[in-house]
Amino acid sequence: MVDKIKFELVSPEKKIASGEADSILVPGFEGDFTVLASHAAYLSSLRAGILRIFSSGETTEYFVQSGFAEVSDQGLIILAEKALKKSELNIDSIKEEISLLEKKIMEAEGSIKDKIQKQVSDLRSLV
Amino acid sequence: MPNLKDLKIRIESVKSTRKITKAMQMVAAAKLRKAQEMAESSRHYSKKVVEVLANLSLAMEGKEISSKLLKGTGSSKKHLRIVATAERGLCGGFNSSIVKMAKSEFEAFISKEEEFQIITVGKKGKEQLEREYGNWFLKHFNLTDSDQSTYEIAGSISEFAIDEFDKSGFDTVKIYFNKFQSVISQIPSAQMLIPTAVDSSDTETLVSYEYEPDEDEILDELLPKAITNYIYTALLENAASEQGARMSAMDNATRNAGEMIEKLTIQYNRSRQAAITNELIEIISGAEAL
Repeated sequence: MVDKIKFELVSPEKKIASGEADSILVPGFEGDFTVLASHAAYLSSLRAGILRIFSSGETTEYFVQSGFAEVSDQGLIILAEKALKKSELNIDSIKEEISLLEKKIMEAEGSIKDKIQKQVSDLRSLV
Repeated sequence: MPNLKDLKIRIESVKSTRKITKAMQMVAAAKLRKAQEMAESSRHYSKKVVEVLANLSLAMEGKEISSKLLKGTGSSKKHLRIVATAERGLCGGFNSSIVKMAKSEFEAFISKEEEFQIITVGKKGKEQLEREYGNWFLKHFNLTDSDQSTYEIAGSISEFAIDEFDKSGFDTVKIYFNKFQSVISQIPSAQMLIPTAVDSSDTETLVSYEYEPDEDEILDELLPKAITNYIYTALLENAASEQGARMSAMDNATRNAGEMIEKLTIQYNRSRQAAITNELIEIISGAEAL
């Protein structure tokens, strides 16, 4: 019997999901990482992407954007400003956001520009 | 003495006012429950964000921090103040108690000759402050005219405030709102946004994390979110307080209308009786004269 990891997915409005899972794939800022039970304490920011929760053969997928993943001895906690089930994800609204961000790129400079560019490419990879 | 018809009209009009205030009270009660539920469900996220921030700022103790949002600029000469009120009135002293609190600080700024500017959220605060402090207005945010959720509004307020902080060299940013205590008591409060007040006393244990990317960059990203979170919490508290205040104000109004109806009814009955007595006297004395 493999140990399970506790997880919680929380957005500012409400707690979206919580429970136990075998493993969880988190879209970290610098790349995806998988969290298993008794993972070391870890704090990473998220990029826009898909969070996959594997639990006894089943996979649940959520779209998350802009937030943090915190791993501690209490489990994995994902704080995301935007989080919804992948099936509820609206491709058109993402496309809209991409075009909005692209307009912002024109005005932005320096490090902010790089950040927005990264957001755009993250979102692009989803569409 | 007013005549019978006038009295009757007045009684009717007070009765319909009572109906309106009663309905408003019930609507406010329903909205209050919703607002409280929203505040309740946001608490989890909010608590976590504060915890992570407290942990992170402890870990950064003594290190170079690139973001000015956490510690401020070091001086306290130029201030940005956010006054969060409601869109609508008829809620007792809700709006004016926030405005009063804000005003007393503005007066202090003026007497100390310190610079300040005001962001208003909600129409009522704008109306009450406009005449006296119109010169210091920077921007106004509406709470209702848009299809944005409260969190999105909080996001745009915090984005604007942080932008101004960077651009115009403000030293402190603070928000005024009403904290929800109970239906009958709302406490006008202020929350410091920049420098971000970190209350680390609540954090039970300091967890040493591994960070990705490094601490400084995470802090850079976390701070705006924490500020948005503080504003969001303030707006939710405000929403619950507004409904609570309206509920008790309308409850009072309903009761007053009831008392008034009672008084007017007594007056109506007395003058009706007086009129009858008068007529009787006239008839009797007419009959006696014959």
